[in-house]
Amino acid sequence: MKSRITLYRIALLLAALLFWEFGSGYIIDTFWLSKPSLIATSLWGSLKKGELLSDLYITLEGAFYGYVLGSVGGLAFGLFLGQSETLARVLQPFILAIYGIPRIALAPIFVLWFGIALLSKVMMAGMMSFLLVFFSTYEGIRSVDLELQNVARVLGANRWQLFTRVTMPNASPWIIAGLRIAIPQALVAAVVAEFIASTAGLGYRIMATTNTMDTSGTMAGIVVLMVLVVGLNTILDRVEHSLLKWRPKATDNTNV
Amino acid sequence: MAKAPIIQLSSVSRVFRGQREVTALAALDLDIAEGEFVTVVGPSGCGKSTLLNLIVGLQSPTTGQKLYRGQPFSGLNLDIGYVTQSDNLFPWLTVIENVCFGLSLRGIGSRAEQRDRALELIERVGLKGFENHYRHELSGGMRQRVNIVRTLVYDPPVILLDEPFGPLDAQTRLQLQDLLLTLWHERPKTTLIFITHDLTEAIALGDRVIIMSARPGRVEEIVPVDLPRPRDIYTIHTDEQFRRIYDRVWLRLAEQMKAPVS
Repeated sequence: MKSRITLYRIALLLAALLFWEFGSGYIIDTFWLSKPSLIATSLWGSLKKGELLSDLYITLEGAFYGYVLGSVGGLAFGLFLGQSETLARVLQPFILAIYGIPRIALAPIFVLWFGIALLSKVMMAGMMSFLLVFFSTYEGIRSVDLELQNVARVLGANRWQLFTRVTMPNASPWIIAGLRIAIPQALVAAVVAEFIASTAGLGYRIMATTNTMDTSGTMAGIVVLMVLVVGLNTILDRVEHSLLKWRPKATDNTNV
Repeated sequence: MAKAPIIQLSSVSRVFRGQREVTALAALDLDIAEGEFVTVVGPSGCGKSTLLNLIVGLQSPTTGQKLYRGQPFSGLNLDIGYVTQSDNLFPWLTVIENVCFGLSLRGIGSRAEQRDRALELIERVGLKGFENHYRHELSGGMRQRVNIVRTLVYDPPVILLDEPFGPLDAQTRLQLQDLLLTLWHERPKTTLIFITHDLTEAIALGDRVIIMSARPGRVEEIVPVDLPRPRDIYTIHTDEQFRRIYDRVWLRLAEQMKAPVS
């Protein structure tokens, strides 16, 4: 069953690529859409020149630092606010307001503040990760099961044990989900910062090729981003699954 | 009473203040002797669970006094174990980790000793081979076995059980009742307070059946169960004496069920 599904997927992908390859130029001008062979050539060219890897490195560097800083900050702040009922209630409307800003809208001013090099990318990716990780951590801490807490207290847990051995594991699915969603979002943030102003990176390459009407180059950049995100998601699926193997699978309805 | 009571409640009441005041327990008196197996029955909503929460110290009485071994106490009493109605296993821990949890929190024994103690009990309740399973991989009956063993493993002098077999099917219930009696006979000093809505279960297990009144809950009557031990849980309901006690408890309870709920 599973291998048949894989087979169908490959067939579908091939059919789409063939249609694109041979339809391009007949239905829509190749100038607008490019085609797989041209995109492959463009990718190969930038790989040979070393551009592809250096662009990739520059974008990933900004996304990575931002992700690490933002996640650590979000986790810490989420845990802190999750413990303090009063502070959480005071801050709630402000946090919701900040959360409500379309984050992309902040990119221009971040570039103004932090320049066109690494820092603005780190800050964009950092802010994105911070908000996502903070929210999920906070939700996770809040969602702690009171009955389980009481059971643990009766079994002898002190405050610290209650936190480390009940609240934290109980919140872990939320925290892991936040950390997970934040990874592709950090990447997107870094690329957006590069769109605004930059001198290198995947976002820069996509912008620069579009400005010179090099649609094959643009498509090549998009393909790289797509492969990157799909790859990351696949790895993260595995990691999440092995960390949360105590959770019933979504398809397993026999026990609730 | 021959032995000194391990738990004494005198005119204990508990009032919940919400949108309107609800008196869950009113002027309740109860003495429980060490090593006794007491079962509690009563109409639903009569404050049975509140009673257990007060005894263990998860809630405090609004008025009245609680004594443990003759001493007044407030706050959580760690000498008292509590087997809740829903199994409340920690879903992120395996069976053996759940069973070791109390020992580990209390720092009783080395890791290896904790494991040995847990494994022994897990085997006794027929869960050998399931040590490394998570909660979602167990049936309801298995979960409740783990829930009971998780408390038994650190040998608290008093164990409260709140309808532990409530959601289980009849066969599994009988098996677990039998198991509970066996494990209790091996720990003659352990005091059990067991809430149930099943009269057969209450009489088959208990030394005394405490009948609570409709809300606000008081002790309506205490019926001694003078059936010899060890009891055969599978046939005891055919016993002549058992039937007499059953009828007596049932009539008293029926009166309470008919009483208008205040």
